[in-house]
Amino acid sequence: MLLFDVSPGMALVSAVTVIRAKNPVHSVLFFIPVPRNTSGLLPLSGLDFFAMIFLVVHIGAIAVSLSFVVMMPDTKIEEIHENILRYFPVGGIIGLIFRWTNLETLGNLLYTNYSVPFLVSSLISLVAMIGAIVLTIHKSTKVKRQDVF
Amino acid sequence: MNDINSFLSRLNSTINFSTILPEIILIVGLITIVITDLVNKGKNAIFLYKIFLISTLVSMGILFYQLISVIAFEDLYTNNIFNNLFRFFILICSFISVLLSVDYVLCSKISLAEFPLFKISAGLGGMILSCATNLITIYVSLEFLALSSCFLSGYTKRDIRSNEASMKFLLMSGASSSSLLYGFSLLYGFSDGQVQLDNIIDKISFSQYLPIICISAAFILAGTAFKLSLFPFHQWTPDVYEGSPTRVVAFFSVTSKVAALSLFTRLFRLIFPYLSNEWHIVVELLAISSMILGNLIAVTQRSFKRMLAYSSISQIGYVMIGILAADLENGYASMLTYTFIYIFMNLGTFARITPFSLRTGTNNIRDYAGLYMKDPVLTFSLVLCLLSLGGIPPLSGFFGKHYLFWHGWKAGLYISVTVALVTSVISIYYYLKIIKLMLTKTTNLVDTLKTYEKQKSLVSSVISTKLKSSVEMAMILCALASTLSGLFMDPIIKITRNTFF
Repeated sequence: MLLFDVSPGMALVSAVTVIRAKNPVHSVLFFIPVPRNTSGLLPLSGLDFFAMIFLVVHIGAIAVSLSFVVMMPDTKIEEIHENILRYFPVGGIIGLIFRWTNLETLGNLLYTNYSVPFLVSSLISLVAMIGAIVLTIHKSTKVKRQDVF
Repeated sequence: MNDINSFLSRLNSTINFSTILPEIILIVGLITIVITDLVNKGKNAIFLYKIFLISTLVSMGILFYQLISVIAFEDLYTNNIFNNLFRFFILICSFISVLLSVDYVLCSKISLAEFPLFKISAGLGGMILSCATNLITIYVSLEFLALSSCFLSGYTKRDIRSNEASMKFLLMSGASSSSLLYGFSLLYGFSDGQVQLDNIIDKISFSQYLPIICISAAFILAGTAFKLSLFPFHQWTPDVYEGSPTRVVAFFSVTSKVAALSLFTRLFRLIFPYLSNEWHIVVELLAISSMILGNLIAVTQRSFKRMLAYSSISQIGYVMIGILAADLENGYASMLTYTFIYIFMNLGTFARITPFSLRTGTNNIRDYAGLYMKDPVLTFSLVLCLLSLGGIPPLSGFFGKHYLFWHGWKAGLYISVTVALVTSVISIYYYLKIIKLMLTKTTNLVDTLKTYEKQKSLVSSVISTKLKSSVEMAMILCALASTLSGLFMDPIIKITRNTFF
């Protein structure tokens, strides 16, 4: 129960730190507790599937790409004055839109009635992965390659 | 255990995999290509192309077998003749355009194994799109087609024009998908949560929600018009066609247009029958402006690929007349026959340009001068295909246009057919300009043609005769289809007649 008492507060504090931190690396680091704590609150309203998806999408994809953005260009440490507090109400709003999120029902429908779009989206992911590599691969002697076979 | 049993019984009752067997064969071909390339470590890339061709042919065979029967694949697919014909068209497009690109293997240093992969995936996307009756399937397959075409157009990544073309294609497909989705979301909402196209018509009360349905129709029209490159959504076409590698342009100039045509027809026929008057007027306006704009601007072009891009915009304008002229006894016969002929004409023209640009490295029309002396086979087949595009009898382009305009006139589209006839005459001008340039003997040959070597390829001299002639095979196939399918129109028309759904 302590987890659910502390979560909103931690989410709020981390969100404020994301905006107000002078070092961009600190911003990205404090971005991670925000979806973690928010998704900790989601199972309380019965949205178990959403809690997992929230974690995967926000931390796995968004935080990783944010860290890439901070890593690559020559970012300077400066002050930013904006007030956008948007992470906390998001979970509640998404919870209002959907009526059921039971994982079993979703799986049932996804694998039978909507099987063709499901298969095609898996093919899309495959082609997108291969395509991204094809477009950006740079074969030169300086690049170290892994010998797979 | 109980759960698994109930799941399996449910699976058996809802899925009938024999209906998507052609697509499954293409998927198996795709996976085989990836695995073979991995195992062979990049050598022997020709084998991958053979896998592609074999899988396409097997798919076509099974599709023929299925043309006879009509099976519905619960909520996602319907195998009526209309859909099957479009799947067949897309398979033909993929097959011939891969025949064109086999010699690419030997003459360039880019990674080549993924090229047939992207072509298979684009063909797959097009095939599933032709049969989709579910909003979700439509969107997913459209994205699949757009994504693969985007990768194809950016394939030669050292070339800046290819990067630019790929960027423009990406932006265009993003804009069209978002517009389409907005229209779909309105339909989904107002039909009380139905995704299946048939159920949407049942549930939406048209009289009550007419303004919203009009807004939805406008957004869907914008989304599909991007893909079809109708005016004013045509701005991306010339730049993308000029920048992408020519084999790729050949492929997606026919495939994505054919797939988008099937999407357009199905959506507007099924969902908006009560709005027939409104969207007929809008589509007529779009068709007229595409024809006028495409033909007039093509007159001034100096690059062959750009000229073909503008001419394809005007060809789609003609096809739109066919869609508008659909009636009960003939169905979409005129549009389908013209699409069939258009595929061969367009692919035939591109089949001639690719070896020419490979051997001389240029796309300027001026450089085609006097080609007759150096390569009579290429010249003659290019002449046939260009004349067919222009609509000169006895080639098939004439018969296709004649049938189309006759149906349009019968359906009462007097303004459109008049504009189409006038612009057809204008288009004959710029096709004949090229033919005249090629056939007249010039005493001072252009520098590029002086070094024109017919038999040898530019890079390597060790080519087996089988490969070199695959492009020739594609050329001959397209030339024959361009000429003979006009003379043998009747069986084609008989097949395409029964397509009103």
